[in-house]
Amino acid sequence: MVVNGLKLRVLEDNKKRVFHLKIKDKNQKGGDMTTYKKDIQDQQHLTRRQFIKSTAAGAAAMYVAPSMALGADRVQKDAKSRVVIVNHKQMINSHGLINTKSARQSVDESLLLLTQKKDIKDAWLQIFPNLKSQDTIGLKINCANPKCPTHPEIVYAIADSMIGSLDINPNNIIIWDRSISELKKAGYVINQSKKGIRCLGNIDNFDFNRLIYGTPQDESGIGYDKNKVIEVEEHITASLSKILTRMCTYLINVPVLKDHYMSGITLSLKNHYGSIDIPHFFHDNYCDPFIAKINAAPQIRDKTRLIICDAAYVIYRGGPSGLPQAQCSSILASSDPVALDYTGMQIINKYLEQNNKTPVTEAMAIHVKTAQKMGLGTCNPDNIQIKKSIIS
Amino acid sequence: MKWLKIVCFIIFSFFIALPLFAGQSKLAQLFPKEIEAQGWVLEEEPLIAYDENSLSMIINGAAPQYIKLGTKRAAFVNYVKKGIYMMLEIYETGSSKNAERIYKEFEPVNSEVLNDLGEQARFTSGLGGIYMAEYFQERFYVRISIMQKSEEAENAILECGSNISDKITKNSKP
Repeated sequence: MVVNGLKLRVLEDNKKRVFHLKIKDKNQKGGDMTTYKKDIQDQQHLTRRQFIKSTAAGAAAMYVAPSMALGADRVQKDAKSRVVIVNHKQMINSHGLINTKSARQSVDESLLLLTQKKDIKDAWLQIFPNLKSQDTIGLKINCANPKCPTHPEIVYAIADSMIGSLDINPNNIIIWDRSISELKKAGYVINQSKKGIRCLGNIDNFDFNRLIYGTPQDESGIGYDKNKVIEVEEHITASLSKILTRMCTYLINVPVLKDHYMSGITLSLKNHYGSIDIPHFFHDNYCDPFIAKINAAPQIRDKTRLIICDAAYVIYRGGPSGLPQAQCSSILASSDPVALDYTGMQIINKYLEQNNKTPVTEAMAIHVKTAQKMGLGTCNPDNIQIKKSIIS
Repeated sequence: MKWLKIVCFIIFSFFIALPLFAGQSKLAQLFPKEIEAQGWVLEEEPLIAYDENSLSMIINGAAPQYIKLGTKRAAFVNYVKKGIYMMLEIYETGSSKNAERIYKEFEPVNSEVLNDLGEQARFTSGLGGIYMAEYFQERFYVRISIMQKSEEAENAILECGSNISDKITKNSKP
């Protein structure tokens, strides 16, 4: 539709979807509304069956051996989950931009502290002990708020550190997030070529036709894997990103330090809303238990080796949107997403207290506790070992 | 009989869709086409959201907050010039009071008052190399952000805001 010289795309309510679907159905199958509804129901049954089949092994593994879950210290051998906080005084320059050299120093320092190694190569080898030449490492970043995204300077510092330490082809590193549009706005250059570090989005952008079907499936983009679905809520299944399921052997989660109006905080666990096709369906009840259920998917839980949280800036109130509210100049790292999120919540609460605002309660960020219950890590402070480092 | 059904369906569809497109036109009329003359290119087709689900597709988890504050529709337009993005967000609420509520809810740190723009306006030189201008006028809350700090960026953001403000005033006249 063209209005005022501009072509518009209208995103509509899912309730209105039926109306458009009938038109589509009419063109494609010649069926009526009743037929169409039945098709959808059958599809849901099928996806549930597929889901049960695809996740049964993973669920059984989690039940039998909870210590194999991600939170159970892949990197460190000791019982406690280690969370590292590296603060770099020179991380942000006078223009408010990230200093690339300081970003690299912070990344390397965080990994040395996390793995307790003296050499960065040894640190990476501890994180990826069985890396093969054909393996691909994905960096799941967060560009949902382009004013406070995972900063490219930090993400490329992680990638460069890996390239310098591991025997990995740069093209086997994929920086990715939900949409190409969001990545570009956050300062990333899309690279789908066979040279250099790749940068990809699940979808190109939001499209009217995709929303007709209620999911942002992108016919022109990489899209979502209909064979890898999670039953996030009863009778509602979400498909995982094909980048995650088909392209990445391992995953590094690179979230941003932000509070969240609905879920209290949005750090490593909530970051995987960008790994599914219908995140907007799962914001009720403080996003609980949906966040934990998504993170329990074997494709996420088993592939994740490391979490590096970009805490250069922080949004501590009114997030996840808006401008950064304080300069934190830090990086958090852990192999336990639950421990990292719990620690991040304490940092956010310190900023709230300093500004005489109500802290984020554990009741609000209930997904952290649910994730612990599901064996994804620990949010018990007694089981978290925090290591701090300051680079001046 | 089959043709009759099709004709009835088309007529029915037209009347169902009419109010939707009428609302859409009003919001779209506020887009500042003037800034394109300064080299700002429309990056992609503007997005207009009409409900929480579609708003969530665009601004993710922030959507329920805007709905709670009275947002009825929202438009998102991105302009790009030499790789720099200018992001325009217009939230249409049911009343001036609701537009003011959004304005007050998202008060940034260290902003300065802008005169002669909307009913109340502010400019923020934000952390992370971002300029942002916001105001509310009638039932609209407008936010413009540029991911660069420069004199050119500041001028562009203010001119864009002024263009939209003029259009809101013009459209409200009987």
